[in-house]
Amino acid sequence: MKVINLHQEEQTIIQMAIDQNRFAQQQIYTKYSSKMLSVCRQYIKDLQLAEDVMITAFMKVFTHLKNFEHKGSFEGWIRRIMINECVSFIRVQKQVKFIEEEAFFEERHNDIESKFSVDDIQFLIDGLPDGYRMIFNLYAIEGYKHQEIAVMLGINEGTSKSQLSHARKMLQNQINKLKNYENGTE
Amino acid sequence: MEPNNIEKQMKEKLNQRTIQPSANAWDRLDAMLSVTEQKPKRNFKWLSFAAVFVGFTLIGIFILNKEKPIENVIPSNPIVLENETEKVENLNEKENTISSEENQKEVAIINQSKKKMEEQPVAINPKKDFLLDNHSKTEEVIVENQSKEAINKYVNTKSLLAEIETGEKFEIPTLSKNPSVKVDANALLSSAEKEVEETFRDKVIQSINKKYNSVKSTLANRNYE
Repeated sequence: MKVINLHQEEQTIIQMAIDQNRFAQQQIYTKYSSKMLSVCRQYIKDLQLAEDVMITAFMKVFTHLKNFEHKGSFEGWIRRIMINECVSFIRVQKQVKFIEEEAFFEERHNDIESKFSVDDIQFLIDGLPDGYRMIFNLYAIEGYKHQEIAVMLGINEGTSKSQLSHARKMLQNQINKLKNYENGTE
Repeated sequence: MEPNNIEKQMKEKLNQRTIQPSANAWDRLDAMLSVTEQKPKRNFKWLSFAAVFVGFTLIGIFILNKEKPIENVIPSNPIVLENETEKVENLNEKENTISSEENQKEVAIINQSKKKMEEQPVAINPKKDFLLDNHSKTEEVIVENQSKEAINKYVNTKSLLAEIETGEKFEIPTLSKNPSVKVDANALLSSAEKEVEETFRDKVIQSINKKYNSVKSTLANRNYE
């Protein structure tokens, strides 16, 4: 019963927000803003810029709220808008260009069993170039398929795969460096 | 290429993470939302004002255009009928008396006009343009008749003077042309009546204009207040 009530409550808040009720819009913002800023921060190194992108994405959320069909989760819908906004921001502002690589050698990456804090993870991801970081986030963190990434970024599927492989290789090197630094060997 | 353990660990930890946005983030979003909400309202207001203005002007133009043809059409019909009868009389009289080339031309013109007049009742389509055209044609015929009247009178005086001076010349056509003067007088009367009616129409239009101006001035005064 609680789940049903929560769902109904969310639906009424969404409907109120569609009718431009500012209180309902603020409720949605306060509920999801902290999670969505984390998502934006995955893609954008600068926290202030990430917040700007999040605000722009929330604008799109509220202006396109009537298009939400209540089929999937509302959080997932907002998250997709955030990711699309981050990707377009990086592509426009940073002017990221991908080198088309149809044939590439897929390397096996050793599994690392060590545990990292979320700040370490963010530090590792921040070490990647914008293009690599974007594809790594989309594939490994968000769970997008290479085909979807290729459509989203307007590149070949092979390019997406090769970029991911390069990103993983770079990430492994950084993890090794971080481990050595923690062990005091470097 | 499947996500390895470190990637799964990254996914879990990043999905659980939350970063609190700055305090003024909502204010910025609020301002952006209020800006987007105000825009369509303003546009709608301007559009409504423009639509009302255009609507009133169209109605005004329609009414003004409609008033004029009605006033023109109503008096034209009786004039047409009068002219028809008058010209029939003209023809009968002139056929009996006049045989000169000028008179033949007149008859030809009047025949043409008569044919046109006769065609009108058959058509009976009270289309504005058609009636207005006919009205103008009848006016032309009347003007021609008037000018010919003047010529006839002038000839009569000359011939009379010549008669007095010489006592030799005596022109039969002068006597025969006298009946045509009577007929033309009727035409002149009808044209005078038409003019009177036209002045009445002008008066009506002027009174409407005055009323419109008074309403406009009162509205303007009210707006200033």
